Amino acid sequence: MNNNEFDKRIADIVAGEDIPFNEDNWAAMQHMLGKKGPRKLLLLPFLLNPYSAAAAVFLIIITSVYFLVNQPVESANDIVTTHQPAVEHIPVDELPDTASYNITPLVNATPKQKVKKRVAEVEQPVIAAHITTEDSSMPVKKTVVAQEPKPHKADKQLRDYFPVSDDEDARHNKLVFGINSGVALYESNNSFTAGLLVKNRINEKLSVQVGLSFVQGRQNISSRRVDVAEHMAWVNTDTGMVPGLATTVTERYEEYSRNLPYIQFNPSVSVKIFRKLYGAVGADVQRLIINKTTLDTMNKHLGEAGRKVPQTDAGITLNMGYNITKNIGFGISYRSSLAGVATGKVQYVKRNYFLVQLQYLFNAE
Amino acid sequence: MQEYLYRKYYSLFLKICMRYTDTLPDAEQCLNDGFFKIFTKTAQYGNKGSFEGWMKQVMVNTCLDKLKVGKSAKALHFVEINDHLPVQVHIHIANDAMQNLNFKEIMQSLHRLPETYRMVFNLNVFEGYSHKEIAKLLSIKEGTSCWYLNQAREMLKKELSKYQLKKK
Repeated sequence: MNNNEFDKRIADIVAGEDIPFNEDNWAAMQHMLGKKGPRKLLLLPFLLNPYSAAAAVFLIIITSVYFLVNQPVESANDIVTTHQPAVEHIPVDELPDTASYNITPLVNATPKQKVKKRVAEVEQPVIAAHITTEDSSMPVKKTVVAQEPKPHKADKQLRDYFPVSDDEDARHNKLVFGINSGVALYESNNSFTAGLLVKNRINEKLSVQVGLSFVQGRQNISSRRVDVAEHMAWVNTDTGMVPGLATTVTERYEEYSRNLPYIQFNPSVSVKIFRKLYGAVGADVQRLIINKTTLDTMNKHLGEAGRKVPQTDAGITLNMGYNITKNIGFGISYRSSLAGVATGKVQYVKRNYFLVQLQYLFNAE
Repeated sequence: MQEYLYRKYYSLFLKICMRYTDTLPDAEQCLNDGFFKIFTKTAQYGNKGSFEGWMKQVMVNTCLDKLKVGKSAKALHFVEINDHLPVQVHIHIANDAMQNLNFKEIMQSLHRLPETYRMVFNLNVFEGYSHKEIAKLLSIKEGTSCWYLNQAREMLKKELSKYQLKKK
């Protein structure tokens, strides 16, 4: 077969193929011809410009850092719960001679009702005591995402005509670099995170992503302290008033606000749900970047309250993301700490929170 | 009228776009861009030749424009070939093997060719452009066009013969 015959044969086969009509393409054509389509966001032209979009993300990061770093460190307040003594306290020197009375065993001393009161500021080192607050869901504004039109039946077949060539493989596996920032919202605690991310697309659906970030976490921490005091007191019995021992149990809840810096390593696997919507699950390892002496001081104090801050905190993250443009993504993720019991009854302080994220990819396709 | 034309030439023009572009979405975008030009610039058709021929030319030009815009200058760089063409290795492909070929195999093989080679092959074999026209269109020498065509043809034969081997 000579070249002309070869060319003719190829051309004939191609000419003989009929591609089924796709209504979606006609709908897109109508849209191009001036039919009213969905309104574009006024912000979109701004975001589509890579420089202005990158500048916007950078500005958000700087503003967030400034906001968080300049927040005043709040004073510690104590909430005290006191068990009052069994009887009114009488100074020891006013007590009658104990030789003529029986001493009531301590077990007979019955505490009165609890009285809770909030006391004034207690001056203690800020690093004194830490207990993480518990998790609670935050209201998340729902984003309504327009459902992608279902691919036309013919599309699947047509896609076969475009082989996954080496070039395309290379393009799919191309590394994408970006910056990532987020604000953790959780009751009165908040954190700020900013860092770099590398994304590698495995196939059309799956991607692997690794993030390395700096986290400045402001945590409101409370510590429960129990003090038990015994003293002599008059106790009512069947035989009359007898001197005995009364106990005063004082529960104190010390609350502190503390900014702790972390380095975060966050590898994850993301699955594309729709064209612009994806979900991701991954590991999240955060390491405190304060010196060991400070950490030991914190933990020594916390140990009395049965709490401990780990140097390295491992957790898992669940993330839902939406690509606003090909470069800019928005996401909400939940981070749950896996830290359990340290030793005995000492519980690790857990870092659980919701994180609102914004990311910018430099070389997104 | 627009819908009639769109439906009638959808298959023909999508095949053109698919030959030039790397992905189906790109091809569909090219198709609509081309039809948009056809619908909005019909006045530019000066009754020279057939209307279908004019539309086809618009579609091809749209694809070429997209390739030039969408890719880096390096991707569209044609290496000028001297008059003394290098010795070519001809790959033999049997007649019966050609009979068994189908559209999918041809398209997949075509897309494995480098963009520049594929472009020259498309313009010559499918669009029927002469080397002189291709040279003018792509700002290259005629000899270069001829060399690229031969190379593309050999590459295509090589790719197609892989399918035949698989079938055996």
